[in-house]
Formats: sequence, structure tokens, C-alpha cells
Amino acid sequence: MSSDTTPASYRYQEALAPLARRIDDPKVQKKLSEVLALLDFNSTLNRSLELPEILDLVLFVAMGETRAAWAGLLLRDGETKRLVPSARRGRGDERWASLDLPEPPAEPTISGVGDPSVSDWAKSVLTLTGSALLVPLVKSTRLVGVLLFGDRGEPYGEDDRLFAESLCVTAAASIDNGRIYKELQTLNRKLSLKVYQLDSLFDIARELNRSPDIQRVREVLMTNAMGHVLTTRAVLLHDGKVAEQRGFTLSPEERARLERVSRELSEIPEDQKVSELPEGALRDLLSGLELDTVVALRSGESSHGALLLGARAAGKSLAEEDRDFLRSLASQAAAALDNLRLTREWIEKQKIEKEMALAREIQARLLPDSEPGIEGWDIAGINIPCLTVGGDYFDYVPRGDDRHWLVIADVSGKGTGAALLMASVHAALHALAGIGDISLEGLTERLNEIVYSSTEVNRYVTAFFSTLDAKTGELVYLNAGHCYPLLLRTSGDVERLVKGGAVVGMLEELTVGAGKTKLEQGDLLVLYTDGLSETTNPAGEEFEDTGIIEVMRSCRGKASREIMARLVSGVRLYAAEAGLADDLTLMVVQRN
Amino acid sequence: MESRQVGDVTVISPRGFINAHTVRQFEQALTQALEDGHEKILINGSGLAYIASAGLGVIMGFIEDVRAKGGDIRLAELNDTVFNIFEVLGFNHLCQVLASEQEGVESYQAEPAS
Repeated sequence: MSSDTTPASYRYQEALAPLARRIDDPKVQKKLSEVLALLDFNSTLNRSLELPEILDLVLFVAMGETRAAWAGLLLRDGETKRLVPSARRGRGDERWASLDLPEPPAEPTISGVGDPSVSDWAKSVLTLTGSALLVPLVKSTRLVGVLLFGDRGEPYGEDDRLFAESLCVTAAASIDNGRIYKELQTLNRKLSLKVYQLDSLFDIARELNRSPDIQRVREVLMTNAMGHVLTTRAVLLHDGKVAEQRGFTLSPEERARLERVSRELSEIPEDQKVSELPEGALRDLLSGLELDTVVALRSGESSHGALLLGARAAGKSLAEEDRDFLRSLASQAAAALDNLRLTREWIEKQKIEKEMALAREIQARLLPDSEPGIEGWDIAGINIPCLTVGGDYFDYVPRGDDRHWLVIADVSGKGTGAALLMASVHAALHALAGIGDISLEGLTERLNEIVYSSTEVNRYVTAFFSTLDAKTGELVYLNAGHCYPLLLRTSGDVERLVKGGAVVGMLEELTVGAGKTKLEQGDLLVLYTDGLSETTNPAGEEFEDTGIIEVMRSCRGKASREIMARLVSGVRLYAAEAGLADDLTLMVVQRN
Repeated sequence: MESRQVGDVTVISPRGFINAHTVRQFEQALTQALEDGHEKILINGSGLAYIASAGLGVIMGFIEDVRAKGGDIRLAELNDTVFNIFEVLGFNHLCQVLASEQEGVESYQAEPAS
């Protein structure tokens, strides 16, 4: 090594060493040796910033010059302010690492065993650690730690203490610098990790915003969690099923057992170490599968499942930053799954609405769009569809010879199914109308066969069929399980048209019998569906036929269209804020 | 994502960024190598600008399987950014990182995987 690069302190040592050998006085020799040791110590410290190296150096120099059997360093923890056993050289002691030491005073002083005045604190530290001399490490009035000297053959004299104190002045500054450097390194590492986590979260958010499918969300969740935690095994429970497993293979039995506990797992608040779960079957199952951490997949109130992760392969347990990352990752994935769930529901709703619109269209097309225009008669009909499409139906079918079918019917059920059944009733009715002189009994029986054979048992039709002779006013009718039409006579009497039989399409064979009545001038006939009679008021009471009769009585002599409007407004008024819950269909028949 | 054979070592050379979006190609390259019966894998990082955690997750998902089959996943020619990520996470303790592709390939001869 050339003299240019050798530190001055070393060259100083080199110059002093031969002088030291020439001195006879052992006291001077000793002092010179100490000075050289301190010089050496200083020079070396200047080259090193790593804390463990600094601590070792302090201990070796301390032991070398004092011939102590051991030396130890207690460093003061920045947060708890307590002294923590941090390094020890020479003779070991089992209790060292777990020593619990009293909180130090603000300005402790150098103290040795057997000193005339020793503070309680110093006495306690000396006893607990089994040391002979204690030297505070102080950097500008701040206590950094304590250097302990173990026993040696003789007590520590003034000279030893002076050397120890000199050593500690430099040591305190170096240790403090070393600690700051170490803290900076740790902070730097944490910062790098944080930056990487944020980068990853941003990357994940971007990917999840590309409106991925469920499978993609699962993959993103799995790979990122495994990459961050550095684990080789992971399981994703989603909607009660094992959706993904990586790094190992679950047996069918293990899979089933995991799926049985999936609900319990998804209710874990955020994340949970398996080792901290309450003792029991769940913990045993997870630790048996070498799964260490559970992260719930939750977005607001909705829970999607849980992510189960194996132990970190790098050995260290999960730090708070890692758990933060996992929580953020899980909540992003849960939000993406939420969005997918909402989208699915939205599409489902759109489908239903489309179906409803179609049903409504079918219904609207099949209903007559104008009055029948029968000479000498004032007839009006209306269908008011509700939010959900039902299967109400009414029709006028001319039969020739002044005769007309007046029909009202209600198909069971709602939606497209009901609308389609209604369409087939309509088609059959018009087809049968074409085959000449068919009786109402014949008509009903044929319709029954058609509906019975083409639908489920729970689908049926209530109907009121009638043939009106426009000339005579004679009305032949057949009531197949339908609400009784009301006939208000001029006299004020009310007749209910009840004759007929069971509903159409429920039974394989039907026994029906028609009834007959005659409509005179001034009589008022109202056909309706249960949407009118069963409408309830806010108290839950039905309008019933008495409600209908009341309205009928109040508007005698008015045109059928007007009476129809009054019945509709009457029932709406009755329902008030409860609103109409069902389709409402009615037909008003009067002789001019 | 280039993949080629150097002796019995499969060298995969990802280009640009391995992130949540591009990670599938990386996963496919590894899956393909395993399906073809190649278990000695070397990832040449000379063209790799960045690897997000999804990429590391894919490696983690394969490594036990590969090692159980007597192979390994090793890395070479990582740029400073990528190496720094490995260090911060401790990934360099799990997978061997070699200076050059040649060293990487030779490492399989010198010290066959488990």
C-alpha cells in the first residue's frame, strides 16, 4: 500500500509502534498501547458504516485492552427507549438475549461493581447482566446505549475507566451513525417495496378496467398475490367453489372440505393468519394444506369468497406492507367481481324486459282495436295492461245471421308463457268460428282439449263465452270458471251469469252446460276479469262485485264507453296509492 | 416472447414489460416448455424492462412443479430495475440469478437442478 492512500492515522501508528517497543515503563507502554488501539479504532470506524461491524469492533477493542472475559452492548431502542441486548463477544450467557432491563435515567454515569456510590439503576443492570463495569454511550447528551465489561481477574481501575470512556465517545457517534444508516437502508427498502406495490396495484387496476371476464379477474388476483407474497401455493374460493389452485393439487376430498368451509372463510373480516384462527377444524384443515393466510374477497356488503395463500417462500412472515397490498388487491378484485355480477344482472333484467315487451306486443295485437259495430248495440271493451304482462283477453267474433261471440278470458300466469297461451286460445277460437254452427259447449270442449294437451297442468284459462243474437237480444252463454258477469236490469235487480263449468285446460274431460238470458233495452251487462274485482284498497280489502255494481248503478243510461271509463276510474280511486296490481279487462254491453 | 433450446435448456426471452396484461404470454411460454417436456428453464432478461408482481406470481406457481420434475427456473441478464425488484422482495433467494445466458446454461451442467 503506498503512503499516498494509507490513512494518516495508520502512518501515525506505524511511526509510534517502534517507539513503544523502546519504552521500559510498563505504565507508559500500556498507555501507548491504548492510544494506538483508539487510533486504530477510529481509523477503522471511518471506513465502515455497517452496524454489526461497528458493534463487533467496539467489543473486540474493549476486550483487547481490558482483558475482560466478555463485553456486551445494550442499545437503546428508538421507540421504546429501553435498552436492548444487541451484541456480545467473549464468554456467552444463555440469558443474554432475553434480558429485561430497567429504563435508563437521562444521564447515567460510568459505574462499576464495588464503587462507593452506584445508582439503583446501575446496580440493577450490573446484577442482571452479571457485568463488572458499565459505561454509557452518549452522543451529544443523548444516550445511545451502554457498553458492558465482563469480569476479569482484577477490578477495573481509573486507567481502565478512562480508556473505556474514551472508547465510548467515538463508539457512541459511530453506532449512532451506523443506526441512522441502517434505518435509512430499511426505509429505502420499504420505500422501494411500496413503490413496487403501487406500481403493481396500478397495473392491476388497469388490467381489471379492461372489463375482463371472471376467469381473468381470478388469474390477476392469484398471480399478483403469489408474486408479492412469494408463495408457491394458493387457492381461490369463489362463490362457494374452488375456482383456482396453483402450485399444488387438491384431492377431490380436500376440495370438498374447503368448499364446505368457504362461507365461514369469506366472512373473515379482511385478512387473517391461519395460525391466529381459533383452534378447531378450520385451522387444522388449512394448516394441513400448508395454507398460511386467508384474505377475504369482499366489496362493501357483498362477499365473493376468499384467497388462501401458502407460506412465504423467502422465509420471512408477512409484513404489514404485504398485508396492506393483499387487502388492496383483494378489494380491487372484489370490486371487479361486483361489476361483473351487476353487469350479469343487468343483462338478465334486459332480457326479461325484452320478453315482457314481446308479450305485451302479442297481447296488444290479439285484442280488438275497435268496437264491434253491431247494429242496435252499444258495446265497449278495454284492456289495461299492468307492469307485468298477464294473460287477459277479450274478443268479438261475428258469426253471421246477426249473431256474435262476445268473449272474455283470463289465462293463468304472466309473461311470455301466458301471452303465448292466450295467442293459441285466440287462434283456436277464430279457427273454430270458421267451422260453421258450433255450440258453446262444443267450442269450450274443443278449446279444453287444445289447452289441456298443449300446456302444463298449472296453465289454464278462465273464460266467459257468449253468443249474442243482435236481433232478439238473446244471450246464450257458458261460464268456464270465470268471474261472474253482472247484468243490471232496469228493475234494479242484478243477475250473475254463472252457468257453465270448470276452467278450460285443467281437466282432460269437461262437462259444461250453457245458460241463457235476454238483454232488454235499459239492461246493463258488464264482463270483467279479476283484475277489476280483486283490486285492493290500501287496507287490503277487495273491490269485489259489489264495488262494480255500485258504479253500474250510478251511471245508468250513460253510453257504454262512458260507463267503462267510470269503472276504470272507480277502481283506480279505490286502489289509491296501492295501485293496480294486475291487468284490468272489461266489456260493457247495452242495447240501444 | 422468444423461446429456444440451448442444449437441454429452454431459454425464454421476454421483451418489454411483463405486467398484468402481458403476463399471459409469459405463462403460456412456460406452460409450453413444460408440456414439451423441458424442465430446465432459463429466463433471459436482457430484453425485459420491467416485471410486475403478476409475472413473479406465475414463476411462483410453476417452480415447485418444475423442481419436483427435476428441473428449475433460473434467470440471467437482468437489468438493474428488475434485479432491484428481486432484491426488495427477496426473490433472488428463491431463484438463481446468473450474470449471463451462457453462465445460466452452464449452471445447469455444473449443478444440475435438484
